[in-house]
Amino acid sequence: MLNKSLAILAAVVLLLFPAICRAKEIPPGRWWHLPYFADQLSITDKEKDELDKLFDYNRKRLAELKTQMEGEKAELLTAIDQEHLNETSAITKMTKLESTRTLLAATRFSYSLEVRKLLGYERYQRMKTLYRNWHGLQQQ
Amino acid sequence: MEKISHLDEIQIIEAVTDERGLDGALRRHLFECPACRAQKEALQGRLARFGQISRGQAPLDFRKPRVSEKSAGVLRPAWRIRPAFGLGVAFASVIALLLSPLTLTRDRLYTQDAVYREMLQDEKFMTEIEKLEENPLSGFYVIGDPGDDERDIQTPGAMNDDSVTHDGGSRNA
Repeated sequence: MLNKSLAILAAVVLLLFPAICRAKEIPPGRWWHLPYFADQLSITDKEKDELDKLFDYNRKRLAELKTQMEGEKAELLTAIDQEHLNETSAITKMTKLESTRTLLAATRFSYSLEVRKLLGYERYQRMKTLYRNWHGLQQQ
Repeated sequence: MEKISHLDEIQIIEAVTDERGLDGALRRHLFECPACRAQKEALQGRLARFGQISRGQAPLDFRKPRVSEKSAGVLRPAWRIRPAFGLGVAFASVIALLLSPLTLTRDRLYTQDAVYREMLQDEKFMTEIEKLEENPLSGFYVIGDPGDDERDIQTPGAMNDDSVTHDGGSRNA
């Protein structure tokens, strides 16, 4: 059962990995409220509301998972530091941590996915270009 | 013009209870005749005194409930009782209206400055998330300062001899 779960987790991570790597294509924060993005991408008020909700939910969930991971990491390190090592317990804690990590990756990915769905292909591509240019504008 | 004699007892009582019910000539006489008027006022006085006595003697349960002036004030508008309170309520209402979703536009909620600030915070937060995602045990696998994530993760094969204790067994066992 444990092996099966681990295999599924690994598959999910591998599946998500390219998408995770692309996560930085989306600007941070509520970029849709900046006229630079909103005007050029013609983001409607309704879409802004949807993006706001999506952002709030996603960041709240990520913060929860981050806290959870930090707790699990501390538990794992404590287990490893025990004088009499309980290997099974340490492996269980590691599996738990890995599972939360996968969930974190999936949560991060789901945000990108929802933004992509909401914007559609053309606007998503345009958003990426705008973001690249925006970086340049910021540096000037 | 017919001369009207003084009002009799029944007419006096009628004048006290319902003066309008009296004939016009009798009412005129009552108005003009001090004797009849005195009789009427004496009867009114006796009735009033009787009312006072009976109110005082009536058992508590049968008395009319009295509403004090203070408590009667509750029914008056609050701003008449305490003008400062009224002013406060009015001010709070204006603020609530200004901050309500009806009047608070999205642009006012998300000023450019606020959006920029949040973007910076979010970028920092997402960098932490990425680090955690890439290596949740950073520090544990890093040799040297556990807090320094910039260092390369070293595999046992790549370790320097100085950094490993060769005690011939597991450290944790």
